[in-house]
Amino acid sequence: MGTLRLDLTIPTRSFDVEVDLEVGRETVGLVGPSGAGKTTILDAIAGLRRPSRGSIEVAGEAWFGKRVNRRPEDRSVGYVFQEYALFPHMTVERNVAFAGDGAGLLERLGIAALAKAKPAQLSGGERQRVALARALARKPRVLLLDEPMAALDPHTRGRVRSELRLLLRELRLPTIVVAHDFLDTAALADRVAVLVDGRVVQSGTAEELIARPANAFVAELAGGNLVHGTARPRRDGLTEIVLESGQVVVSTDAAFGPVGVVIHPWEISLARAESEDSAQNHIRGRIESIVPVGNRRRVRVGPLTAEVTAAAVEQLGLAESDVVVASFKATATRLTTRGSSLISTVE
Amino acid sequence: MSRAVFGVFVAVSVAIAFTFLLLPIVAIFLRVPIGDLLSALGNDVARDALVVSLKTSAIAHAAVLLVGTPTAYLLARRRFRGRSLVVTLTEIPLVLPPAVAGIGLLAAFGRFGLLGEELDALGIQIGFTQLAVILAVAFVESPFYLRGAIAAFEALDERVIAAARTLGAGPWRVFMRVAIPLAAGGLGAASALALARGLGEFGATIIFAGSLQDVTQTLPLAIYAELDTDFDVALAISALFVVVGAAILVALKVFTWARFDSISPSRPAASTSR
Repeated sequence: MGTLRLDLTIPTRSFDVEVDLEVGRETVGLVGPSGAGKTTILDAIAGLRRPSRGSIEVAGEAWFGKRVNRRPEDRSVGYVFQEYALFPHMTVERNVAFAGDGAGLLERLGIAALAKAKPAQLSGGERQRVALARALARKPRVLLLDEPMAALDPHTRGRVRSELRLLLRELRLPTIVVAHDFLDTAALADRVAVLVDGRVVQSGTAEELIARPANAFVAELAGGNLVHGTARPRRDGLTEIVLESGQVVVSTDAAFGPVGVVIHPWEISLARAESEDSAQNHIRGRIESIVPVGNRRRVRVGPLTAEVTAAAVEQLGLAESDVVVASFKATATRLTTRGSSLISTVE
Repeated sequence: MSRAVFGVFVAVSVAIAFTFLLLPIVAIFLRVPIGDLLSALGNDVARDALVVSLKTSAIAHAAVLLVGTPTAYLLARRRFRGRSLVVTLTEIPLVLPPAVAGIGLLAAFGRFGLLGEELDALGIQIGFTQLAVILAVAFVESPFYLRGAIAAFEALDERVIAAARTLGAGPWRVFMRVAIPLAAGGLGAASALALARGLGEFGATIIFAGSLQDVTQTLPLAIYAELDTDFDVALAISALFVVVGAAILVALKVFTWARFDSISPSRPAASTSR
């Protein structure tokens, strides 16, 4: 079954990157701070960088090992580079044709109308689709995505994330997605591995990482709120999620069916009453705990944890068992789906 | 020094510089009217020299491009011990007086030179033939092309080359379809500069190839030969050079300008909806 197996040591200037990973027909997210060695791992799989030891196998075929080191052109990798690395002198059509027969891919990714355009004339989201089409034209056995969201403006990000998630589910290729943002990755990947200084410190589903972080770093990185509910699209293009607690939350991510709603604690603000701000989501609850973290305070309100400044807590005179309103924007939510059907709102 | 005095100083410097640089060129065209220039070019010596120059320059330049482009690519893309020494060696003709280059070529390929006997045995005579002109021109112009071409290939985006490889392109395809088109601006500029240097080659040619009309006498050599016999012909050929030089300068500017279009790093676009 086209499984990708790797067990590698890759020397870098500051440390050795160690990775031992098995990726079936699924998407694995590789999250960590910049300089943790994420791109190094993708480069090693693609054959652009030589590990000092270990092995890379795809469907039982050795790409790298004791006596093997296939050239990049002799591996079968669909690599979407961070800045996409499109050929600036070629049209969209030719970029894709460079890798192989791109028939149907332009239509499938919604860029057929741009066939004659040069990369410089495209928006970030369009470039990403061209890079994806080009990588897929290679008919790869492994898909590697390096920070697929980083070059996009926040406005496009949500839409592209939904599209990409849909595409990855359809392709069912062993896929590794690299990102520094945990929630971006959590929304795309079936499993997430957290990489710090070249070592995987924890791996599991996004839910597991949020619920049981192995250490403070993972807690900080993944430290999101996770609440479960059932999603359905609304007429205005947003998604409405009825939480298990009965409360209703609105998200810009598209989904249908059972979902996990993830929110960063620093995206949540607290008030005594529902305020007249742009936040669409308000959850009323009793303060269960106030925990100091440096100059901030982690305030537990019902199912949510908000991170606010110490000054804000003082100003509002917050104390445990007070009733407050936790507010956050629809754009601050990420929906993770597990086995649920997905729909896209952009068609 | 007061602001006003400095202003005058700069203005005078600029005036002197431009007058000095442009006066000889203006003088060439003032000495002989344009109509006379054209008829002077009808002169046998001038016509023969033009044919010899065009032929030898074209062959030498083609050879420099053919051999120099892959050489520059290798030197720009590969990191190996002694790389900077190798790059420096290719620049030797740049610092040599052309006369010394001529002597060197004679010592290597001349009848009594290093390879003289071997070439003789093969029935090849190089000294004082058109082949000698080609070798001399190629020798002096190649570092101009190599330097520019190495810089052009070094400026290529590493990730774009890497992308081409992961997409299944072997080294030949990466070179022809990605590296050369992306470096085209820089390669074109280097090529124009080298061509200009090759067309003007004088010292190495006169020593290694001599100045035989219709065989080895190129345009610069013809100017020198006509200096005593028919100054008008020397002037006419010089005027021709000025025109060719101007054309090459324009080509250079166009190539360096076109470069910005071809090497555009992916930048976030302004609009996202289409």
